[in-house]
Parts: sequence; structure tokens; C-alpha cells
Amino acid sequence: MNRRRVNLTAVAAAVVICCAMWSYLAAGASIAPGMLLFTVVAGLAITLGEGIRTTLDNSSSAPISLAAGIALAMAPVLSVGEFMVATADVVLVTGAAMMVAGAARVLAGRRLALGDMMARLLAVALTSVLAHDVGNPNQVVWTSNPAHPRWLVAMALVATAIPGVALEAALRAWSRARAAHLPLPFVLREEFASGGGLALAVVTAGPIIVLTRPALGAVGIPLSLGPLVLAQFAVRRHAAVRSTYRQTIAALSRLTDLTGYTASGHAARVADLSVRVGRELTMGTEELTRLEYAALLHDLGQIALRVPIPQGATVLAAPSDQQRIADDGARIVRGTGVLDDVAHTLEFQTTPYRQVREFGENLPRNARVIKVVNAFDDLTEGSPAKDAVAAAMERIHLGLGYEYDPAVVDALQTVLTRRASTV
Amino acid sequence: MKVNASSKGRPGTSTDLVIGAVWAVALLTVAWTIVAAGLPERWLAVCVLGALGLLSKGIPKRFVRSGITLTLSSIVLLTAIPLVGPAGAALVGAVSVVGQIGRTRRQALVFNMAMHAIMGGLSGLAYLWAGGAPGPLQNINPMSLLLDVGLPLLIADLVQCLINAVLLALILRVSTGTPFGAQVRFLVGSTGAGYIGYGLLSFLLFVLWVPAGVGPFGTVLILAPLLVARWALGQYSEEMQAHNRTLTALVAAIEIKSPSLTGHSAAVATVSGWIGDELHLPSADVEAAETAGMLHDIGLLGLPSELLRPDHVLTPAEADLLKEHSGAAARMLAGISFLDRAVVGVVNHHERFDGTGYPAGLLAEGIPLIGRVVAVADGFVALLSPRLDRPAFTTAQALEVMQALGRSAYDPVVVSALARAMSRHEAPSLPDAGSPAVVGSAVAHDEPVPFTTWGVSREVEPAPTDVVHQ
Repeated sequence: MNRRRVNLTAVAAAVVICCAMWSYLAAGASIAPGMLLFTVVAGLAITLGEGIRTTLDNSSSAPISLAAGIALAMAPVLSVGEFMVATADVVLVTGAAMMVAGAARVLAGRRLALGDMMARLLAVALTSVLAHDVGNPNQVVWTSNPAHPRWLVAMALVATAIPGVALEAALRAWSRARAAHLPLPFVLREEFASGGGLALAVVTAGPIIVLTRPALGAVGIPLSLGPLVLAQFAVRRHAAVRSTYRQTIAALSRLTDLTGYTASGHAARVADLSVRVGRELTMGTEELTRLEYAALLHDLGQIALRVPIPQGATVLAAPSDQQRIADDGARIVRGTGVLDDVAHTLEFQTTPYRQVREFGENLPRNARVIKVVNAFDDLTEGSPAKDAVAAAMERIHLGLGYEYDPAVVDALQTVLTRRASTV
Repeated sequence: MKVNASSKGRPGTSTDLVIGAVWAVALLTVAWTIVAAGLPERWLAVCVLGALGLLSKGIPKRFVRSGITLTLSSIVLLTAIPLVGPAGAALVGAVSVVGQIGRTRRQALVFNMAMHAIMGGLSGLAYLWAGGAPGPLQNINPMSLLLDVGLPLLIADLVQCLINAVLLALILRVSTGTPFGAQVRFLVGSTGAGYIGYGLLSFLLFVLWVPAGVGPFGTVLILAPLLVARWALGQYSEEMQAHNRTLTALVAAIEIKSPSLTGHSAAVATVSGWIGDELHLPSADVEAAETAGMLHDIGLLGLPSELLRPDHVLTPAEADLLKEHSGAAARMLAGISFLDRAVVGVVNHHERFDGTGYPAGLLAEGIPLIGRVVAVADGFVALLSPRLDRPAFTTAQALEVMQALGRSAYDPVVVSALARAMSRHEAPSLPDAGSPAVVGSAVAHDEPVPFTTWGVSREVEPAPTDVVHQ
């Protein structure tokens, strides 16, 4: 699956490179004299920018490389006026710079992520087509005309940069959706929420390079990328702390394993399956994160028990004990002062579904998911074997509507069926 | 950076005097800038920059532990220098402080206004002195821009950083008694790198504004990515705080299991941090020491609840089991990459200076420093807690015990750092944890002196020192 995904983007990029070669050779055009330095520095920025990637969930972006490529595509440095030839120059320079970076990555033993790199090349090609090959006069010629006020030019440049940046984000989201078997709209939304800010910085960096070029020349390239470098640094720090936060929650969830209260890996399995079920129920990213944390911590309350429950299987414990464990866990989590909604979920994780039906109680959806998935994992003891799964589901079906939310059980069934078919 | 005068020391008349003097300097500076360079010519630019400075001051910045600060107003102030001249810069500086109204105390506000005017004015003069181009540029090419604007701007930038540090250190010296020289060094060290970044960004903004002809719209292009960075850093520090709060949940878990330990970990964390400060450790190490202090007894969670009862005296076999808690903690905290440093402190907090500790029996400097720090803090806090068979020690008594044990049980250097710290701070508060533990119980395992001596006399017997000199 993964291999095919990489190939699709790479093939598209290869087609673009071949077209560029052909039109380049056919026209015999070349870089305008005096602009060689600018082109070389831009190429260098692309190569170096490829080394500074931000990787999230197997999808890597290189904002600096993309911004430098977009600037190259929009700058009036290449064979102006020749149909498609300027774009050919841009694609060839960008492609060559990326090849150097890719070779360096391979030599250094780092992951190449060819698909993501080619997505950036396609974005640069699109920008170049918009800048050189659309409109009469095209954007590059129009930009060079000193009669137009510069602020208007700045806006036009930003507008030209947007489609390329959007294309790159969409391509990345698409490949990630395919790799992780996630619905595309969901991944697109997530991509926008997490990468939207950085995309904004990329969209402005290209135009800054183009606008300062008459005054600063090639020096403007590294300087103009400064704000973007800062933004990327900040976003990376943010991503890093998110992942350490996750590590901490995971460590908390292992406490009951290590102290012999629960079966090893139970919390992690419940969290993983809960998130899948949550996705099936079309939960948003934020809600999924809270669900994951709550699922990881759902047995934390057992730490306060004097005598461990056999196997830590709360589904077999008396309802009052279950509730006490839930309340103790919620108390610990509430003590942090920052995970109140998770604590709220934990309090309700043992409440039977009929309370909703009979008393109209407002049961958090997360709590309903955790109740079902926890029961499933306790009953199968983590075994993926077909008969264990079937027996567990049969038992859960007995409590359908009374103990468990039917919608959640349906979602779990869907997830399990899909899992069975892929393994 | 702004002033937050605390109530310590004598904030009264001397502070007012200094603020008055700073205002006098500010007015002199403004007069000097007008004499030297005249009034600003681009009033539109003054208005735009003033408004931006005002807005950026209005947004609170809370980048706790992010390692960088991002003060948009510094960029605005620096851009003002080549754009509207020294007098304009002083004006922009003073105006930008208006955004703090309602957020800062009036005294601090008055001081900050004068300080920003001085920063803008003097660094503007430094720019001119360094050969900076004052008005519109004659010929625009990369070389002349770099030499006539970029380089002088960098010098102005450094001057601004220095003035900021000196004036802040001065007011802190007067209002809270913080040592002047150390404070200046600290401020320059912590803001210096940021100022170089501000210099580059404001140079870029100036180039966009004037030579590239984009005008005020250039601020949109430059500030958009900066706002993104600012937003991400804000998110970062919020998550970092959330994360630190979550770590305390680990401690809450021990306290639910063993209520007699309530407050102990927090107190050890506080004292560990104080000692780290006294030892002038880098801030990352001080933080690690605090975290290690917070989590040092996390391994106790692995013990059966029965053993953790405050009235249960451990049998020798049980005591051996207890000694595994520092190693168990390492297993629990494994996988939290940013805790790596703190885990060292947790694992080694029962090593003794004379090599009689556990788990590894390390000797003297062989014990990682952070482990020695947490050990001292742990022993000290244990003495401050009441036990069933002895009342709580006072701070002075506890310090005496710790000093007597320096070199045998504890690193004497760390113990004297503790003594210095305690001359500066009130003793950490320990909440009433219910029934006090009996000496010899798991809860009291951190008692600095072997518990057998307690029944005999209240005198402190240092452990035999010959072990050290073997």
C-alpha cells in the first residue's frame, strides 16, 4: 500500500520533470544573465531546507524548501515571456536541488520520504505555471512593472503562492489518509488545524523574497526566510511537547501494570481500540485526543486498591468496586487541574447505558466508548484470536442497550471486522 | 521584559527617586535626539509603528520554559530607528507602553515608559553614530543597504539590549535588592540572542518598507509568520504547563496510596530547586532537580499497600524490598524522554556520600550531582516532618543535623548550599498528613540518621567517617 502511494506522487513528478526537460531543450532557453547568483542561492536554500523537516505521523513537510521554491517560481529571474520555458527552468532547478538533498539524506542513512518531496516539487511547478503561464501580461511581467503600487504587487504575490501551498498540504493529507486508512476529509481537517499556521508563514515568505530582491538580491533569500525559520522552530517545539505529554500520560497508564494491578498492556490496547472506534463515530481530533488520554488512564484508580483485582479485569468486579476505582482515578486526574474533561469521562466510565435511556442522564460519549472497549479487552484478555473475539462480542451483545451503547458496539464491530480482514 | 516590583525590601522612596531620575534621563535623551537629528518626517510611519507597538504590548506573552522570548515591540522599536529617526523611535517606545495600562502596576508603567523612550532614543543615536543612513537612501544596492543600514542597526540593537538590562537591573536592585551585576549578566545572557534575531527581522521589515516600496503593508508580511510563531510558542508553554501539572498526578497517585506522604514530594521538589539555584546550576539542571525531587519516591507505588502503613515497622526482608524503590522508579519513568535527566536524580537519591547507600553503593563524587542534591533535600524535609517517636525538627535543628552528617551521609558542598538556601527562604510548608509515621516504617525510610539511634538519645551521631578514607 505504502509503496504504491509513494509511486503515484513520484510518477506525477517524473512526468512534470520530463515535460520540463522537453520544453527546455525545444526552446533552448536559459537563465537570464545576471540572475545566476539568485538562482543558485535559491537552489541552495531548497537543498538546505530539505534537511530541516517537520515530521508528524509519517508525513514530513519542509517549509523552508517549499518557500524558496515558490520564490524561485515567482521571481522575475528566468527566461521571461517564453511559454512554459520559465516553468521548465524552475522545475529543473528545484528538482536538481531536491535530488542533491535526497542523495545526501540517503547517504546519511535518513528517511528519504520521496513522495513528500515530490509533492513539494509539484507545488512549485503549479506556482510557476500560475506566475508565468496565466494571464497577459503574466504575473511576473506585471510584478516587474514599476507603475503598479508595491503593496498591490505584494498582495498579488501572496495570492499566487496560495494554490501551490494548498496543493502540497492536500497531497500530503491524501497520502497520509491512504497510509493510515483514514477518511480524507478527516485528515484534511486535521492537516489544516495543525499545519495551517505554518502554511501561512510559507505563503508570505516567498513574496518577501521576491519583493526584497531588487534591493537585496540573493542576500534577501536567507534573510527573508528568517521569520519562517522562527515559525517552524516554534511549531516543532509545540509538536515535541505534545509528544512528551503523550509519553507522560502513557507512563501514568503503565503504573498499574508495573505495580501488578492490571494485565500488561491493557491500557495501551484499550486506548488504541478506543481511538479507532472514536474515528468510526466521526469524532474530531480534539475529542479523539481526550478519548485517548481517558482510555490510557481509565484504570489508574486501581492504584489505591489494597488488594489487586485478579488480572485487573474491572468488568468482572462488583459495580460498587468499579465505581470506586473510577472515582479514585478521576480524583487523581482532577488533581492535575488541566485534564478536567478526562476526569469527567473517568467518573462516568462504569455508568450503564440504560441510565441514558431511562433517566435521560447525559453520559459523555467518550465514557460510553471506554466502557465497551474496556469490557472487550478484559473479556478477550488482549487476544486477537477469532474465537476469543467472538465470545467477547457475544457477551457484550447480551448487555446491548442495557449496559452498553448500541452505536458504540456497532462501531467496535466494524473496526474488528476491518482488522480481521487486513491481518 | 517589564518590571514586576515585589513587596520585598524597601520599595518606597528610593524606587520613586530612581524612577524620577530615569524620567529625567528620558527627557534629556529626547531633547538630544531632536537636537541631533530633528523631528521625525514620516508621521504616518510613526503612527503605524506606534499602533503596532501598542497592540503587541497588549498581547500577554507567556512562553514559560520555551527557551525563547518573542517581543514584537522590540522589532517595532528597532524598525523605527532607520524609518523615523531617533526622536521618532523614542516616541514609538513611549507610546508602545500605553498598551500595558490595566495590566501593569502604575509605578512599573511609569518606569517602563521612560525606559522604552531611552531605549528608542539612545539606540537611535547609536545608529547615527555608527554611520547609519538617516533618511531616504540615495542609491539602493545590497552592499550599501547592509553597510549603511544593516550594520548600524545591529549596533543599535546591542545598545538597546544593554540599556534594557542595565535599567531593569537598576530598578530591581532598588526595589527588591537583587544584586546589580549578576542581574545585568543574567538579562543580557537571556535576552541577547533574541535581540540579534530582532535586529535581523527589523532590518528585513525596513527593507520591505522603504527600498522595496511596500510601505506599511510590509508589516503584514513580516508579522504574519511571527504571529504564527508566537501562537505556537503560546500553545507550547500552555502544553508544557499542562504537562508539568500532569506529572504531579504521578505524585498524587502515591499520596492516595499512602496519605502519610502528603506534601512530602512537593517540599522535596522545592528544596531541591533552591539548592540547585544556590549551586548555580544551569536552569535545565535546576528544573531537573525539582522534577526529580517531585518524583523521587514514585517507586514506592510498587510496594504492597500493607508495607506503606505509617505504623508498620519494616522487617529486614521488607526493608530490602523497600530498597528496590529507586530502581523501580526508573522503570516507571522510562520512555518519558524529557525526564532522562531527572530520572538520574530519582535513581540515586539514596546513595550516600560515604558509599553506604543504595542501589549501587556509589561513593562521593561518583554519585551524580543531582542525586546528591535530592538526597540532601529529602533528608532535610524528612527531619521537618513529625514522627510518632519524635516531634518535627525546627529548621535550625534540622540544618544542624544535616551539617553534622555532611561528608558521611551527604555531600558537604550540597549541605552548605542548603544552609545558604534556608537563610534566604522560609521552610517549605508541610500539610498535616494525619497520623505521623513510626521511625522504621516505609514512610520514614528517608530519615537521615539510622533510626536505631533515636530511641537512645536525641543527640546526633555522625556515621563513622573512616569508611570514606579506606
